[in-house]
Amino acid sequence: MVDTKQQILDIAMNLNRIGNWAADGYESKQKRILLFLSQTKGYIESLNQATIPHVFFPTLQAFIPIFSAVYEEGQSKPNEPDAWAETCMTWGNILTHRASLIT
Amino acid sequence: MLQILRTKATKQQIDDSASDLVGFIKVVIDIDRKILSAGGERHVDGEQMLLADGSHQAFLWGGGFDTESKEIDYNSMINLRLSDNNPSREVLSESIRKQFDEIVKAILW
Repeated sequence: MVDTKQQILDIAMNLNRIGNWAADGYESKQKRILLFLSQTKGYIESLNQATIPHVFFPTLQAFIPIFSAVYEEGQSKPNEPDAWAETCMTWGNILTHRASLIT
Repeated sequence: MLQILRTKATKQQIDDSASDLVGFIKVVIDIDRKILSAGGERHVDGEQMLLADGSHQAFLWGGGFDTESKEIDYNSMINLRLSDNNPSREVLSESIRKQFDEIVKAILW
């Protein structure tokens, strides 16, 4: 359980970083954003869904398609960079809050 | 659903505002009028709703309330305001955070 919680917090932290960089200026931080998007994708894929705590499962199910869209849109400058950045930061916050429910 | 809440919210109002983000409510607080906007996917929409309702920018601060963990955060794109001595997307002032907490707890808790 502890490892899963840490993995979720790593994903949340990355999303907050990505969101803040994009809000500061996607183009100037694109290389870093792409690197962290790829890393985050890897973290998500490595989550063992069989061990996801019941309390967190609905959040994860809602998050996965959101992240897929964020990932794809973030491969180049998003049409609305501020909205894209805000989505990243919002889900970083949601995951951080929901991780606290995992004991 | 984005809405302005001026008094303690009903369960239906909370559910409505929480429906946009799987139980997480984006809030914009007016620390002068002690009201808030709740819901929606972007803080700027809540901010605009409050400004149209008579709020003043300097008193508006954004964050979130998670209905599942009951945690409050003070993170929003609208908080980055050098003119109000807040050079961050986080609300930096402890005093404003305290007021933020009080209003969220009075209306959404």
